[in-house]
Amino acid sequence: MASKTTITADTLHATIRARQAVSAMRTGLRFGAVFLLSFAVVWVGVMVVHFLGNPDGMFPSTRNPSRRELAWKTRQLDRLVREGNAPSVLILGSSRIMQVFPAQVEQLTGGKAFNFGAPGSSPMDMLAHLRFALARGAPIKSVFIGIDDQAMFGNYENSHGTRIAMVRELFTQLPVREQIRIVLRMPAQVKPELTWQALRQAIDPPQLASVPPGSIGIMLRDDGYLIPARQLNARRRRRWDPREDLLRQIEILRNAGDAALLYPAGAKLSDRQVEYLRQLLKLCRKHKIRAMVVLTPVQPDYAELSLSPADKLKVRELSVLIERLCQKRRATYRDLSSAQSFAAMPWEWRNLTHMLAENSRRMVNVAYGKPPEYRLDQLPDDFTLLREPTPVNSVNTP
Amino acid sequence: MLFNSYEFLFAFLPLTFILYWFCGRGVHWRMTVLALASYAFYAWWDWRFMFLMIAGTSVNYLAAKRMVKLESSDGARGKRALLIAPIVVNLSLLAVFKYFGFFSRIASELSQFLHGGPLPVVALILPIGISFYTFEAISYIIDVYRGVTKPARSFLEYTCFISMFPRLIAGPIVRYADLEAQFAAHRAGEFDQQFGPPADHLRVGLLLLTMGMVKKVLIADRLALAIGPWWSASSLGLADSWAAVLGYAFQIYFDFSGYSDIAVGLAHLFGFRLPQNFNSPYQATDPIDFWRRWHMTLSSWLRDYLYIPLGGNRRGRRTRNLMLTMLLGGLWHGAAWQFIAWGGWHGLLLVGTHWLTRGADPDRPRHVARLWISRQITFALVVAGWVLFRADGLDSAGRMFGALFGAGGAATTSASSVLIVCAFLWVWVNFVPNSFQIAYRTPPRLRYAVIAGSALACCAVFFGTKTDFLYFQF
Repeated sequence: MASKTTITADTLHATIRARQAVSAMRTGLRFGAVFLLSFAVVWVGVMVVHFLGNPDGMFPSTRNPSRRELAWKTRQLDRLVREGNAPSVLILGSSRIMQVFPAQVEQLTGGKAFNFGAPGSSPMDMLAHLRFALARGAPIKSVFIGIDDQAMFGNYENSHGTRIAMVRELFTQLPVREQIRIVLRMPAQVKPELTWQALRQAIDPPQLASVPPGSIGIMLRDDGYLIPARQLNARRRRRWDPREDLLRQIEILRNAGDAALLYPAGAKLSDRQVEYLRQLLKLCRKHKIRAMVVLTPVQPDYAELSLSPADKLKVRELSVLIERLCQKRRATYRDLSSAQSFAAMPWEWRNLTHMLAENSRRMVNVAYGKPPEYRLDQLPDDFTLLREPTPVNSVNTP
Repeated sequence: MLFNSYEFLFAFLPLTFILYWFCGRGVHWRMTVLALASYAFYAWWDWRFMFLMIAGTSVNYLAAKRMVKLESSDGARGKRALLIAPIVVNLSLLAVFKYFGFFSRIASELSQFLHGGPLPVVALILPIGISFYTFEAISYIIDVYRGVTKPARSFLEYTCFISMFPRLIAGPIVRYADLEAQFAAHRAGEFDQQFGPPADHLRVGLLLLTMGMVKKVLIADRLALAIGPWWSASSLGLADSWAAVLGYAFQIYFDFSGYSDIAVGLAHLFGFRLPQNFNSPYQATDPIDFWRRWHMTLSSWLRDYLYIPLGGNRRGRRTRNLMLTMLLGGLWHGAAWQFIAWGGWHGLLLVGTHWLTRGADPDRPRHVARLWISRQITFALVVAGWVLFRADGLDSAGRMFGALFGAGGAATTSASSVLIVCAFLWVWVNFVPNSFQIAYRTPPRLRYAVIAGSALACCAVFFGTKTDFLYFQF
């Protein structure tokens, strides 16, 4: 016998309420879904525009490849290998060693050298650089590794920690967990104020513009050597005096109190970077690459101001640690964190953390066991190099 | 973690939301997820202070539970002790972590003055959110004592109340009574039939979240970058000082009200409705009206748990009680003289307003022009108070006041652009409906979902240059 449902007023009201509830739920879900979809479309769209347009060169865009130092040097090294002119000595490190002169290193080691230093390079970056060079088939026999204490204490994580991503070939040489870590941090690299520029560059990638010689800021030679052209030209015109500039900066820092300190409060040695240094030395040993490891300095007056007694102790402990690591892997180690150790000239600094060529060459001489002024007169100075740029350089070659 | 961060918007919030609504059923599951997520949120800041909060939560919960038992057994004295003990514990936490450094600095300066040698100054790390959750805990125990609310049904429910992550760090200051009925609704299964949050909650929550982010990320943070250098300059031009002061007035409003909007919006996403904290405060027509619109949950807390217990306006003690309440309210904001001065300034404004309007009929209609003039005078008085609030100290506030009247140095060119922005923002705060008015009245049309979703995405793009919420320091 079929059952019958009797429709009463109560049943009808309940049915209407239920339908209203379902309708409200669907409306809410639709609202939420459209909200999420709009969010995703706009956010992903902005990310894609920034990636493709790459306005400040921080992304590995094939449409508009980065023109920053690291990207240019990677392309240049690749060019050298393809042309059969691969280096056998690699110079690795942060911006502090970007003025290590490859020709000087060639003089001291006998092998063709290439400066693969880049701003903010940590042992993690250097490991990727060496792996890349080896993967490309460069016959690396020797490396000069300039250790930056700030990198070892993790000071560069926020400012430079994702820079290696600008070059896909280097990025893929990193361990997977580092790749994931960097990818997750890439959205924070987007500078919203550059969105319009990113869009223009995504649509119409800019070509390499010719730069008048007087307007060149820095130039990288075909061997990766950095020439601070703007400062050199200003010095030649007596518009920039490194001594005056340094004294002014030191005076500002003297009044800045704790803000002048190089390390944030509670800074600790990065176990991650120590491990990567270990892996770097292990890789050198595996490929029978002679490693010269140097702990690099900052300007002496700045060191006095910016390193508290506790920080100086930390740097000494770091030096002991690096020495131990190098002994185990049969690498040569030089603690040149004190500028006096290579008789550095007190005012030959571009700024408080970067040496000019004169001091850089003294440091390299001492690193390789020579007196500070060994054959310095046989090397061309930066003014000469600037006047006679190599046929391939960062100004005329993408 | 900050609300305006990738880890919050892309990881913590979606994960918590999905776990809360879709991975289990029933009020117990939801409260557990909410409590654990809230503790994880707090621990992200500093895991050590999570234990402090758990300890405080336990003391308050147990005291309230015991209090109700004593009620039935006629233990008035014991009940009073159970009221006082948790209040003392909560205030002691606040005193030790927030004010110990301040008072030790005073002692040191006194010692220097009297004996020629300072005493060591000791200051502890301030656990984030302590000013807010201790006030909520105090209101809970007092309300249970007064019989305004019953104690929480379970430790889990009380934990959710105290630690609810949307408002844990910087308010709104919520009373248990505000949430009691909502917890009851959750317990009654009102949300168990839902697939996700109810439609209204979802819509309002997303709209408030978006509007809060826009106010914080696109307005307050940009202003902060522009005016920050002026506040730390040793001398300022006339235009720069006005740009700095007006800029800060809008920065703090958009920053704090933006945070409150985000907090209320997030709570809606989890099925809770929190009280409004800002109701167009720069439309206030007098200082009394201002405090009915600015940080409403704090001002009502101070009224109900400090001003009225002190005696309110009875026995001719209004002036004394108002000044005391506002001075302590200023001190709550920060352990420094300039906050006390700011509180004192607002105390004077309130006392002055009461004196000027004595005998006047508050419901008497006022002419539009008079209303506008009153608004702008009130705005000017409030902005003067912000100089004290923002300055690094009383001397720095004095320098800023001097610069406002031409006693500073040369002006910079960027002041004019900030002043233009301030002019637009003045129009906004005076004519545009506030976030609550927009969110609760916006119909569930899909075009608003598109606008809101797109706006939130634009805010997310700015997460790389984020700054803390101003009220985190309190």
